Amino acid sequence: MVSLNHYLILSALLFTIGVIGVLIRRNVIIILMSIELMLNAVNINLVAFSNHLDSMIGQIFTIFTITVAAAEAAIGLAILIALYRNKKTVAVDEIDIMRW
Amino acid sequence: MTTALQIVLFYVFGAVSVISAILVITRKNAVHSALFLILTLFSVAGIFLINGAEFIAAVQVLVYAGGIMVLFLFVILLVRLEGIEKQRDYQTQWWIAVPLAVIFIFMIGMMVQADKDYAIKTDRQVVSIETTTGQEVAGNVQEVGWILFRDYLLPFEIASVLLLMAMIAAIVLARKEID
Repeated sequence: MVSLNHYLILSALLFTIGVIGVLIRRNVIIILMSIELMLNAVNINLVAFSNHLDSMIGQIFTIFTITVAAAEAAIGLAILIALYRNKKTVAVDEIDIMRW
Repeated sequence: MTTALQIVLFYVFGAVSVISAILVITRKNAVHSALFLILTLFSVAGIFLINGAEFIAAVQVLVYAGGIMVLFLFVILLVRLEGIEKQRDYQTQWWIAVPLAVIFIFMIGMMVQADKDYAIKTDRQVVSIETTTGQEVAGNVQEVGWILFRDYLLPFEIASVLLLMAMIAAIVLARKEID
């Protein structure tokens, strides 16, 4: 029997891998991919709870999460292209113009 | 679906998704990362299927693996990555980030463990604010459709406006400046 906890732990693992990716990588594209990983971990949670509680609402919210993820990816990549055009780099620690 | 098959599929999809997620954040080449992310997304779609969410699994494959990842690959092609591949991959703060993340996952694990008894006690007795469809429904897609277009119509429309805004903003941001 696959219990709810299995899904929660799988989702926590994926989320943590996403967090590590955001924190340690220098390439902005891979950081954006790590954010997608974290959103997917949240989706696993929503769908698992939807199944566990016999309620469709979790699946509805997953659809909205995927919508927001699509919007976020589009905007993030557009910002990245604009940034690359100006700074000629995609390494986050070289984009430090706003740093104190 | 039988329980044994469910367990096997869960472990297969879970292992594939976790391993390819680790590969996503460790590969030097961004294209390889993107391809491993597609693999992760497919396995997560499999997890959705085990949970009886066929529609979400289809949306996951179509929108994520089909749409968003193609966008990622196009941007990787547009942005010249040769320079960064020769440089170091990781930030200087990685040695503090990884232990913190490990602590984080232990924290989540403890929370899941602590809630286990509670979850078993209240198993399926949680008050369902579920909106019943009130109709004979013939499957997951129809069920999602009924709830999405009746009870969640306003959020659905807001989501469509959000997508329109994102589309316009992406075009404006990525456009070449015309002097």
